[in-house]
Amino acid sequence: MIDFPLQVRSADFQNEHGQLIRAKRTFLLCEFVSAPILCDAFIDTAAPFSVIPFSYGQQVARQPVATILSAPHQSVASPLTWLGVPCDLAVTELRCVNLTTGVRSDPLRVLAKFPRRPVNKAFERVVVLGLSLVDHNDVRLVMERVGTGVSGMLTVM
Amino acid sequence: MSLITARGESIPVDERECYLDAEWALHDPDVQERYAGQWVVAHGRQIIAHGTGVRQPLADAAHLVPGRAHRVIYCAPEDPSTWLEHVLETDPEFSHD
Repeated sequence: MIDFPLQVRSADFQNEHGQLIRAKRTFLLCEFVSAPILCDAFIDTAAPFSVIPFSYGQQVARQPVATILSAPHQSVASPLTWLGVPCDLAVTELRCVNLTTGVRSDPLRVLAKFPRRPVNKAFERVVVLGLSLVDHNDVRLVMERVGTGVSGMLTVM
Repeated sequence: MSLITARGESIPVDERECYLDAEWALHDPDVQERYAGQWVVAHGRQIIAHGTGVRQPLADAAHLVPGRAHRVIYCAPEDPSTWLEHVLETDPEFSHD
């Protein structure tokens, strides 16, 4: 088993009462298997699928899965979109990288939406890792409060 | 030679330096701002190649500093205000497995 600690990043905001509101996200450092591209990826288990931003999607290999999805017994297809942009559903592979320990994981299967055009610039910089990452790979995802805040680990087994 | 472990491998020392250079560029706000929308390769904490696709900067970097396993990163300045946007597009009906 190999551990990849989640990097917790925060952004501070202020509410209408002048109180500090701190938002946090947990990130992993990842690399695409088909191209030597290093990227940040954040964990979003509310997202069923991962999202590979357009800029990355243009550069990496993928196996197509779907361009539309429809629920059984329903004739109307559900849109595959990301922030309003139509997407393709495809499989690609990523490795997790831990530069503190100098270890990278074996390839992990990533079922992801690939937007067909760019969205907001800020959304182009980061991969979203959805729940399917945990569903399709032998990994353990742990997030907990330790000391003063959240910490976590992705363990590749 | 990489040491194979359970579900992963150790990164060779010289290759790790390439990763560390790429990580520096990925998280340096000045680099992200200056090269926004471009792919860049860093070496020795300096940007040595950049371009609008992956291939050209990697080729340029291999020419400038040969024999290294360069990594490339995409530049786009981080905007934490986008963290507050609700990104779920649909509210599908999920069944219990």
